[in-house]
Amino acid sequence: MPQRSSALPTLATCTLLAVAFCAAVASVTLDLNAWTREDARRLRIEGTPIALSPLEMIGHDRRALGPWSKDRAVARIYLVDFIYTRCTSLCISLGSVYQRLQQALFDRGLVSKVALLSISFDVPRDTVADAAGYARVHGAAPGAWWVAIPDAGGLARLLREAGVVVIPDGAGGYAHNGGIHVIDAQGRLLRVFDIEQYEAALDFAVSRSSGPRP
Amino acid sequence: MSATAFRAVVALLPMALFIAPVRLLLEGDMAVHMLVEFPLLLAAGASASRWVPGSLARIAKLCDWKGISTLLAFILVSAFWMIPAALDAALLEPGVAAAKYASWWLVGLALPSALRTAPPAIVLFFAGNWVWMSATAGLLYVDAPQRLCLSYMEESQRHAGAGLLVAAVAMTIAGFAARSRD
Repeated sequence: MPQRSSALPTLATCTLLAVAFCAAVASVTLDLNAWTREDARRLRIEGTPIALSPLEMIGHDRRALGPWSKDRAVARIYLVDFIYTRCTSLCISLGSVYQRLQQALFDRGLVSKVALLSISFDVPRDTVADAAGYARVHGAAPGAWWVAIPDAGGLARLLREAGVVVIPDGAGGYAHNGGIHVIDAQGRLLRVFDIEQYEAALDFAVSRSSGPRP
Repeated sequence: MSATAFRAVVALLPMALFIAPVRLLLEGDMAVHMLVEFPLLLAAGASASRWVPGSLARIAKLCDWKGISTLLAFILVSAFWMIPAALDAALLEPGVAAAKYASWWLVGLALPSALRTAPPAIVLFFAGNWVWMSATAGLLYVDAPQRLCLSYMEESQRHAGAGLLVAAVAMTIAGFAARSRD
């Protein structure tokens, strides 16, 4: 029978290991509420909106855009998605969802309050002409939906701040944690919704769009 | 190259992870990341175990009665790095990456001594837990309807899941083989 004293240091070590493990798991999963990074990202944003740096873009209409720069916002709140114009999968679904959102903006008289913004992350391959083509194919209406090409440095910063990860899909395209990002005119990322939850995204944006445009 | 020199090279192999192309090779695919890099880190730590100073080895032995602490550490480290959020964090945050390398290497450092002192029943207990944990994670990775890690595609995830299932079966077979030899 082993002496008790020979097992006590081991017991203490095992206890420390277990405590360290539990603390690490709680930290990475936000107290067991998010087992994936995307879930954790959305939970963090919901708890504390992220302040995004100002971003300069060129819209598909060749207009210079600074959607959350002072005095240059075109709406009170934006529904933002990330696309690349050569996409043949997710971006097509996003495009059709945004068509429905655009229709809802007109039906509910929200055009001056809520704007749709599709930002290309395939810079510099995507050009303003490509953005115009994407806008034409999906019927983006002036004043309601912009398809924009950001500057490369600003894009990298935006993706980093918003926690959007873009990886090659092995077939010449990209995969990324998409969804509909609700960003106000002050540049605060307020919530991220799944594509299928576009109606909830619009309702949330409307609820946060009160007050004068900056 | 002498055996000692070979062990030294293996022990220092993780330094190659500072080279971006090497890191991309080992971490660019989820299956390679989990089923090649992790065992290599473990092996590197194990290779370094012969150079642990005697005083440190005595303290470690005091805290590792019958190898229980080390085998528990192996289970916990394996479990943690199977969490998709943890794996993503290791790829996107340098601090977490360093913790990943250190955790596997340190477990490897203690493993040879632990396996020498642990009775077969204790090894079997921990190996059995590792098998069901890995098999469960493997099935989850294979069956998940969406990408669990932002850094990997679904195909890579399914390969990793299948690899974990194969590793679980291999460990089971190895356990039975060892048992039948005893």
